[in-house]
Amino acid sequence: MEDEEHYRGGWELNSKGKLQLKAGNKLNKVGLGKIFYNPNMPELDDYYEPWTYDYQTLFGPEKKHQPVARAKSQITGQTMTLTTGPNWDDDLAGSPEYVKQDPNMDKIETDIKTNFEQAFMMYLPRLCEHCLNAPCVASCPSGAMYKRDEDGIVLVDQERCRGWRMCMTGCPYKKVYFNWKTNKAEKCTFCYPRIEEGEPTVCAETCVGRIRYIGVMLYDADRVESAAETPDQSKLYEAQLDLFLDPNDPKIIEQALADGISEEMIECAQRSPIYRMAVKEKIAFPLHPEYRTMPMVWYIPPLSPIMNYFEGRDSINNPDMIFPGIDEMRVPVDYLASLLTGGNVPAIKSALYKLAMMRLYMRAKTSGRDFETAKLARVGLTENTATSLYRLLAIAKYEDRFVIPKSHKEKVEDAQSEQGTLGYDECKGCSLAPQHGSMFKKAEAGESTNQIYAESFYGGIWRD
Amino acid sequence: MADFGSILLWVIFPYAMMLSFIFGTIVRFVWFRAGITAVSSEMLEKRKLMIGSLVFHVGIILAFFGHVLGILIPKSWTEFFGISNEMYHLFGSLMMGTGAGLLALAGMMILTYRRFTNARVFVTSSWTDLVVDVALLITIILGLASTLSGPLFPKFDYRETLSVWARQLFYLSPNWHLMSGVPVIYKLHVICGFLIFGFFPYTRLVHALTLPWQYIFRRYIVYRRKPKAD
Amino acid sequence: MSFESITAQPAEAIPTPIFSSAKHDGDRYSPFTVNIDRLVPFRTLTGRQQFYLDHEIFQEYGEMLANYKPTLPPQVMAPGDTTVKRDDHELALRYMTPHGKWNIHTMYYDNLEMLTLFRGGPNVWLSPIDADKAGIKDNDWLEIYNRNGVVTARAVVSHRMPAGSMYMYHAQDMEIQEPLANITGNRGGSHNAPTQIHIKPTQMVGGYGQLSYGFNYYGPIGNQRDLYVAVRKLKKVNWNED
Ligand code: HEM
Ligand code: SF4
Ligand code: SF4
Repeated sequence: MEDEEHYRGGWELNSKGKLQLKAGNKLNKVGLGKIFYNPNMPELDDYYEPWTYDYQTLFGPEKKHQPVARAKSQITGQTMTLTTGPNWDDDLAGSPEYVKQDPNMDKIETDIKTNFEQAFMMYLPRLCEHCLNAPCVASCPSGAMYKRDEDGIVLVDQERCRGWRMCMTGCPYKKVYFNWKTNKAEKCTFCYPRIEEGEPTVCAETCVGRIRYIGVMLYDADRVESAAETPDQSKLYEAQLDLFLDPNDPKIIEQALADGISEEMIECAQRSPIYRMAVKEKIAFPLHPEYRTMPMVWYIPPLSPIMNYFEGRDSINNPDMIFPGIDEMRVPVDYLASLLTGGNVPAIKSALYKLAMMRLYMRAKTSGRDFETAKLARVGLTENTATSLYRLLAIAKYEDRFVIPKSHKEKVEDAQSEQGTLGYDECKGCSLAPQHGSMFKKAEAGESTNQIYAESFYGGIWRD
Repeated sequence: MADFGSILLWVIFPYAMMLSFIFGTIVRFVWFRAGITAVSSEMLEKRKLMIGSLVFHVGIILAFFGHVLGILIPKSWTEFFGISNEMYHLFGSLMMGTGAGLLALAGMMILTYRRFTNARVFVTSSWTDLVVDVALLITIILGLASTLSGPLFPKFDYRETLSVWARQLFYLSPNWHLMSGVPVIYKLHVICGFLIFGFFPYTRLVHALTLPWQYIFRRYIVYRRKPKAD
Repeated sequence: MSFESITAQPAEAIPTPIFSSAKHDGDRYSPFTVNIDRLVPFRTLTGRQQFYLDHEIFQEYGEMLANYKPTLPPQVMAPGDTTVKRDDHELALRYMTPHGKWNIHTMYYDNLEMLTLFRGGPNVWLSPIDADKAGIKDNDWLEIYNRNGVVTARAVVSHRMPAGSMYMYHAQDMEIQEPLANITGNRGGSHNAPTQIHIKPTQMVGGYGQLSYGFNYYGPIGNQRDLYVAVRKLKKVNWNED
């Protein structure tokens, strides 16, 4: 369960109003023994003990009863009673117990939380936020974690990681993992080799819902710290918004060029779908800004819990009813505000109004009904922007979703020799070799690379 | 023959172990950096580790400085500062040494017990992890026994024999005769100690060489930059 | 398609010409595109999409158009069935077997990844209101039975479920993590153990336009799910692996 009062990830302001890691200051870690034992680290059982099944027993000799494959620990091999796992609470499973543990639900009355009639839910795909003010980087005593200057991707240097595990607990989104075979930290790499080539990450490319967008944001790195020190946590969202620079402003362009940012990068920033959604339309929000991490994966709040509620209620005759609907549906709106804006409810509401208005407009347009276009101005839209926003969100063309400049690495290093350096040579038992063995066999058997590619490379992921 | 045995034990063996330490450390840090880690098992078990690891590390680090003081600082220096021999043995060796030793011992007992009895920790241990724990446990017991046995050998002053020999190792002219009068228990402790030195860089123990003290002086966010394209 | 290719990853097979997707250039299967894009008449009596059925048996039952029929009365066991000793806290719940989230239709998904993604073995969903009545807590073992069969599964208690109903998602393997049922002393069955097909007279119609039986094309609709089960805690969890 995400509860950073317990696991102490992220930042807080100290008595002087300065940023400090929630887990304690630097001295307290290296000097005062936290390095020998990290008190905030979750145990295996807080995640789950990986298991497997003894499938082989299903092929045993004949017996009185049907055979059964039981769960065995992948660590000890002992038979396990399963009590937790990833997605254990999927689709509100076990809600009477787990809803209580959700800190985002704290302020919502209990009877509403677990009432069938009021049930709402949404999926929140979470990945590393590649934060501007990344506490994982700040926590790492070895300096093994770093943010790339050229694209902001946060990585773990496997050569320098010594397994002190401060990053795991320092990240409030709990997105650094401990590889119990290499005993080092690992995390999302934002598929940097693909990004360098101007291609989207695999998760974004393969998202069947087409909900993931990737684009360039220009920001003022020198102001990050002071923005993260904004005292009022419901103002942090706006403070971060304030860091982003307008890529069409001639002064900004001039400064960017002077700082060595490529024209291609600037041009991509101008077409950035993220800039459009986050800064121009203000329909996207950072996840838990109150952690003061300045996260860089932003979320558009879902309209669906409200739409579901509303569509049963005369929505066809009276589509405008959705606006009071948004105000009435306090529970999902408060919940979203606690997830996405540090409690700034008006910001969430205005995004929902805007999305709802766009929807009403497009519905009227495609079904040939009248629509009083003056209404669009109420939420800051025009006919043009409503249509193009609709295209960006609903049609979601590949070229609109991903506007990524190439890094032109070949100019700074020998791309030929870098090619294929996986960086996992020393890992015992976790190399890709077992999975890729069949590919090597195919190559030895004389199949051409084209054949192997056609058979094994699908949608950007190796499969064999 | 007796001489040969002494030379082997008190000249060849220590140098072999020291060379092994230096060689292993260089190899590990130059070619196998990616494998250097503290090999944490905290994820598998927390409670015993908390007490064991904290107590052991505090104890062993104190004990390390104790050794530096006791062996590397000549008797004449402490006497120069007006510390009498009795005072030194009573306060320095017996009290502080024993204190540190007991901490390290208690911690290591917990850690070794944990390593062998907790199923998750045991199956994920490499054989060197097991050896390291047992070897440290034995060495710490022998070291404590040596300190505590001090009063049994009133005529023996290690600072006039053992320590002198140890310092001579650094000047490359060890006088192995100095070791002949040393009680067996001390000898065993020394041998185990050098063994640990010998395998130090090839095991999890390398982590002790990587204390990230620079962290305290560093700014929080680390940026890395590729050389810029023109 | 080869054995190798189907073991490597799922592959689609369109075995009969009755399937109606105008697949080309790697498009996904999309029903009726043949009829819309290529203007091939629908396989109905009229050649158009048809909702009204003018067959006399349908007329007799008043089912020419889709209409609402109430469920059958709750019945778990019938006179003449083997007697099962009832439990004081037993519930009678409507039993439904919807398609799962991670699998399509009856595709089994009991591989390690999929099972790890949820509760690692057979499970049934019920509402907190019913769970409280029977003293059931999340992840308890349950025994679910009616006159057709017995299932053992773990409870998933969720306010997503309305009171009075139970879900057991389709196609959970009965040889993985399934203990013996106390009632039969045998291993519990799959999601389909308590279900039974009810044949309706309208399903006997054949050889009439689209009402011609073909495998997986036209057959009895899924009214075998219209039934109730008794639900109680599994008293003894016995694996009996020998
Ligand atoms: C220089 C400062 C040192 C630091 C920062 C340090 C840190 C650590 C850490 C983080 C662990 C892993 C605990 C876990 O499982 O999570 C560990 C384990 C261990 N350390 Fe150190 N250590 C240091 C010095 C030493 C020294 C000098 C020795 C002995 C010569 C030593 C011996 C050990 C042993 C034997 C273990 C494994 C204990 C077990 O789990 O069985 N360490 N240390
Ligand atoms: S979300 Fe990513 S960048 Fe941010 S703290 Fe966590 S691991 Fe670091
Ligand atoms: S693929 Fe896309 S839509 Fe589907 S779960 Fe992932 S993020 Fe959501």
